[in-house]
Amino acid sequence: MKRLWFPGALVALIILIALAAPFLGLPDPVRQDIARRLAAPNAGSWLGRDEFGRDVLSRLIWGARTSLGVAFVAALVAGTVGTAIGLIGGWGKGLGAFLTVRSVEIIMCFPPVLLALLVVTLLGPGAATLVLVLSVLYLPGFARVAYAEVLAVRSREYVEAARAFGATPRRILLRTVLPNIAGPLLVQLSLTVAAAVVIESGLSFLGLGVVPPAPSWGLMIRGARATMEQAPLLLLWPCAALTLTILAINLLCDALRDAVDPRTADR
Amino acid sequence: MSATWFARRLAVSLGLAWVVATIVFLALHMVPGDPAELLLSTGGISPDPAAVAELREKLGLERPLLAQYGAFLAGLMQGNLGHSLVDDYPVLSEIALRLPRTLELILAGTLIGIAVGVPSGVYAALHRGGRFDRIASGVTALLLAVPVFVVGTLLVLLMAQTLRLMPAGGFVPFTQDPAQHLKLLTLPAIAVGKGLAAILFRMTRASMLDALANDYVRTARAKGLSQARILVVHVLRNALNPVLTVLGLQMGTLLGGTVLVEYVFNWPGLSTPLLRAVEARDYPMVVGIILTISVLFLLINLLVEILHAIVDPRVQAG
Amino acid sequence: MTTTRRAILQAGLALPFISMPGRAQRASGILRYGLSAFPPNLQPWVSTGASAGTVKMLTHRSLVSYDSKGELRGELAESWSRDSDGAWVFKLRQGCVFHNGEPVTAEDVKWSIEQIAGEKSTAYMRTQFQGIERVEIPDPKTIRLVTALPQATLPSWFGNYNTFVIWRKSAPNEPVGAGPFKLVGQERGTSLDLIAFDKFYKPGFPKVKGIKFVVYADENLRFAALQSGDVDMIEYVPWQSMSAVEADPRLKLDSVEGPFMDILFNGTKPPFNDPRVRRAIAHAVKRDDIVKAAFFGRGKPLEGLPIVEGTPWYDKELAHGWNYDPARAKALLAEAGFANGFQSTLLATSQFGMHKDTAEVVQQHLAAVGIQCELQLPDWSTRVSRGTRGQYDMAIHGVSSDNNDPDGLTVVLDTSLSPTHGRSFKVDAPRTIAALAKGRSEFDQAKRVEIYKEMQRAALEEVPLVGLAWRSQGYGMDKGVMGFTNLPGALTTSSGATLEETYFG
Repeated sequence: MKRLWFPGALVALIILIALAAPFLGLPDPVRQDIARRLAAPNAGSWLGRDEFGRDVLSRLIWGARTSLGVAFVAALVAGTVGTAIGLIGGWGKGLGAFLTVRSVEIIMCFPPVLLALLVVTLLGPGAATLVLVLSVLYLPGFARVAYAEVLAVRSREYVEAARAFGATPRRILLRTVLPNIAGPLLVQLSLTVAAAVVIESGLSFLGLGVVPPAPSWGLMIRGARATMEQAPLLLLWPCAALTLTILAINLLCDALRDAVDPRTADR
Repeated sequence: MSATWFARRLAVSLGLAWVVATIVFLALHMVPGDPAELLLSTGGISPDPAAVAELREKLGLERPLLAQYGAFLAGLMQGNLGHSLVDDYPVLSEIALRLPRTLELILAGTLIGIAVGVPSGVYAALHRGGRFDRIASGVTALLLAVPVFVVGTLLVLLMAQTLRLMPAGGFVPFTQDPAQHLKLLTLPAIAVGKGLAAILFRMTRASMLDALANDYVRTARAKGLSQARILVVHVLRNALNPVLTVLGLQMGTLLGGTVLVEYVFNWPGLSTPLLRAVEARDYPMVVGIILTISVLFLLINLLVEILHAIVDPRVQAG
Repeated sequence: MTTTRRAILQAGLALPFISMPGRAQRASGILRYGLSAFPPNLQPWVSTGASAGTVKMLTHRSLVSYDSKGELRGELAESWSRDSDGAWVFKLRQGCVFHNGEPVTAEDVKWSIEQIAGEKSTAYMRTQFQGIERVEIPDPKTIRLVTALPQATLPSWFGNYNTFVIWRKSAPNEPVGAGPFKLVGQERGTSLDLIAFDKFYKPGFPKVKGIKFVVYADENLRFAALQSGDVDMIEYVPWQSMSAVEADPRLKLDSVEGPFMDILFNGTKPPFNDPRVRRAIAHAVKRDDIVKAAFFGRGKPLEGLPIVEGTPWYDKELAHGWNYDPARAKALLAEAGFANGFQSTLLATSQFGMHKDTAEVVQQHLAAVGIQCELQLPDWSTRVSRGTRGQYDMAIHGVSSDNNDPDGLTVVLDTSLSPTHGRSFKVDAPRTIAALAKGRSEFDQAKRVEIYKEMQRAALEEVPLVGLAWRSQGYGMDKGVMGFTNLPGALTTSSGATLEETYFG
């Protein structure tokens, strides 16, 4: 538990900054000022201005909002649906359970970036599409975890006991099984958020994610590449923000996993 | 492992490949965009709709979707992936040209990952808590956190742009200029291999620690065997099993991850024609390439499963 | 249009250490040319883009072509004129042969025209050529074209890089042309090899022994290849690199303002059916910002119709008819009943950086006059499809007209033609369209000038499109490469034809 507080605080800080973006008195992140394009850092704009003369610091912070927002929503959707599928598949028998598990396996046949590419081409880029793609991508992870955990606990004494008392399967699943597998699912959730931030920025980088002029780290890196020769710093800021965020979430994941599963704690 | 078990897994994999092909085929035809219209409007020029209609007819796009699907499946049965709608080039030839380059990139990345990750993992485990261990663990966390395209972009910025030590990207066939070929391969291979190196470091270190703590090592020590002999005969052998499994698992991820790397470094593997074919709505090319990648992906997964079964016979029962 | 998404992204940079011995290549007389895209295919009559056009203009030949000033000159045809019945008569040059040694005959010309106009044709000039009623061969040296309507600009149809004369007995997939070079080899997606045709009809041409086209789809890598001497010249110099080419003592830049960016409207979606709203939008955008942000200053604001400055049709006042004037834009919006603005969408594509960047600037300026529009940036395929089907409100487009005659603007202005992604969708512009038709059938130059000025006046009010910016189209080359000309205005994409006059100095 000791190791939880540092990464936890870091992640909390990042989330807090993202949430507080509207109250920080930042310049409008989409407001262009072409006359001052590619301006170096100065008193008015601490990190300089981008190729449209927009304030980079403001775009960085608002970009956190976009990236984390998409990642969290997608992780929650994937978690809810995936867990449900896993629970049903693990608990039930017969065709229904078979189909739910198999359909999840189909998703896993696609390398993630390829699946995302296809869906974005199909539906067009945008935050909504991103959430959908990411939820679909990470749903199997939750389903697998839930499925395995349900199989593991379904024959345990407390489950048997609940069944003996005549509880409905739904009640057993929600009240007895789910709390018992909450730990692994929480770890899975934090893993998913980290992975979703990576894929979101990657897709935006390819021009398949967030639609401009909305700020997003991937988009900022994409934009800065064209002017890499003139303004290399523009490239560094979003790269650093992205890496730091993922690093913080990863550390939190590790700490969470250790807390949930003490066997791995010493590694 | 029994032959029936293997056959069943193989059948499931092939079945999944078929489902993938079907999904991609159908989804693609629902995507807005018309290959004939696009081809005739290359360069921003507005095409004549009558000419577009004629081209659609010629390309066989006017047939009902089910008929097109049937023709596609029939071709697939004979190992024929069809021809590009843009220039009538055989899809199989394109894949035959590009796939080896993608595989080469993955292989080079894997080698870098192993070369860096395994020895440093062993060393860190042997000197647990030491300076190297602590620094390497920190670097590993960082490597795992940096997205592939960020690494690629920064490598270009640093090595090519600022220091001018390396080319920024491109490709020269090995037969034409081996030295330049390897030079061009280096940066993308590092981008591909960096994550693997980090994972292998962690895995090696952890399983080494496990093995070192085991009874047989203590017994061996008590018997007075030399440190080097203990290490090679007992520890490494036992520690490398889980490492192998992780390696297999990661291959699938690498296959997908190369898309971004090839993109950043202009490496002409499978993803360039794939992106171009998606943009041109070149249906046979897209389906062919995705099918190839998915089948590879499935085969790798199958291999990992077999590996698992060999390492841990209990898996077969499940 | 050849700058792909990948091209924008991949920052390939100077590769000083792979400087190949350029001199050796030069001694061999082979020009190495960096193409921006691999030609999708090389079918002679189908339009597959400017890169394909460059190659096709060298392997094939038509009746006419453009000289370095952008004027028509004879090629397979020696001269042309209208006879007393209003038909166009072309006199063929003697001694022209196809690559297989067969002479170019009037029969071949007739056959080629018929193929382009054919019922099953997928040719770019199909519609125009179907307006030719009869192709007659009064004598073996003469071709007579009888059109249904008078066509003042018919000879320029043959200056297009999609109207070549092909040997009439060619196999369907192996067109035999009469150009100065022969295609001897290619690797899909990578390179094409051309060698000089020894029986080309112009004595002393082509001046180089051959051309090796190497594809660098990535714009930064293309520039790097020029810088390092891997190629002798490149097309489509990226805007951000133009000053670097100019600064390099070994290189030179030849650029013209040819293609332009514009806003298109969907006339079936209110309020864009109201010309006052369209005019308001025309006055709302500060063009300078687009030139700076999207083209690194390598372009020119376009505040009227895309008529090239210095041509007879250009009129200074008309050329600034849509000057940047947000107050006027707001007044026009108020007049149309939108004093408080409205919500809308703006379609562009993420695939081409210049479209996306232009759209971002336009969005900003429209917001300033109260028009809040959401950007829609699908890939290019979807953008084309939605444009053709009218599934948008406003769209950003980049194009160049067919040629420098104002009739070349018909393809972008005449909204009564079949809907495509490159024209506004069903926008009413009757007076503009009528003036274009009148100009097409008028043969007197002074009268044509008057008609096209009238057309500009009409278009400024009817707003079938909003001009935004000319963009610079540059060729970069070694200073030793001589004789190449970047053709003026809309013809810049046809400049590849002058490679037959290019030589090493």
